[in-house]
Amino acid sequence: MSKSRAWLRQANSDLASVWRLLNPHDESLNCQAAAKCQQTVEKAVKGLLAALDDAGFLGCNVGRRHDVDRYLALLVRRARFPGEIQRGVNLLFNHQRREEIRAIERLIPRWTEPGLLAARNSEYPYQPSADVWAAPADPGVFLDSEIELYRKLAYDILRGCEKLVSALQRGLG
Amino acid sequence: MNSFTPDGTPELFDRLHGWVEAHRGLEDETLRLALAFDPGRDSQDVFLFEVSDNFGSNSVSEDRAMLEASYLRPQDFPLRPGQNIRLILTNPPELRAALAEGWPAATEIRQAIRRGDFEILYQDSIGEGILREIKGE
Repeated sequence: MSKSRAWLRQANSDLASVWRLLNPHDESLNCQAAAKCQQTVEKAVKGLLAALDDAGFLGCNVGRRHDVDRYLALLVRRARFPGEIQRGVNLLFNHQRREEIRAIERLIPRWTEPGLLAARNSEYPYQPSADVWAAPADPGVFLDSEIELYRKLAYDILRGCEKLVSALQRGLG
Repeated sequence: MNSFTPDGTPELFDRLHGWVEAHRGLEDETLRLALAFDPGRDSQDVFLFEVSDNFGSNSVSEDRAMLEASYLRPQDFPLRPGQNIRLILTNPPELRAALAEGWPAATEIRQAIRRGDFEILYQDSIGEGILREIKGE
């Protein structure tokens, strides 16, 4: 199995787990579903980058860092990947999608600078206001409607990346 | 005065100027500064450095490393066999942290600029200030 396909396989596993986590009678797992949606997007993009590397178009050290938006900046700089690939990349990662990806990336827990409130995220306690702590699993923190948006984004990105990877691996474009 | 001799044809640098110009049109980011430079390594490749507002949502990389990628076989670029375009991307807050903390890529770029081994492909008024910061003026 290529590294690219391994990333995509794992992304599919993350996406499948989202369905198992969703329960209309229990919101406490919505934060986990949000995290898995973010992971799906991240791994799908890494799979595409790995395929571009394998095809000899883009060399980038993709590791464990979460910064998908940074990697997308490389793709949208239009170094003229072959026709179909570039068109596919431009469509898949248009302005709207990049905004949505940034929104889901803001759910990744990050170190909080002294003096600032810990921001809402999908995994760690955070501070809705000073001297108040909340858990991502608390009711009302991640609504079903928000999770549905993330799920759709994850699905669209993963399927789009899979198509591009298939095209690359067939030497098309 | 710059002593930079671009390792490429005039046609290549025309293409690079055009490519950088296209980056100015990115909806999500605002290009402030773009340079071609010679870092003193991998001399067969063409190195570009871009500073854009909102790249990575203006975050500072937790890896303490700027993003560097190689565009291999980019279409329509008159490169020599085996020659690639290497792009280093950052945003203003990250660049300031990188210079202050001495990240390898930032040090490399600063040294190239101080040697005069660079060519400006684009800068706006903010980019001019960024270039001065890199020089350490």
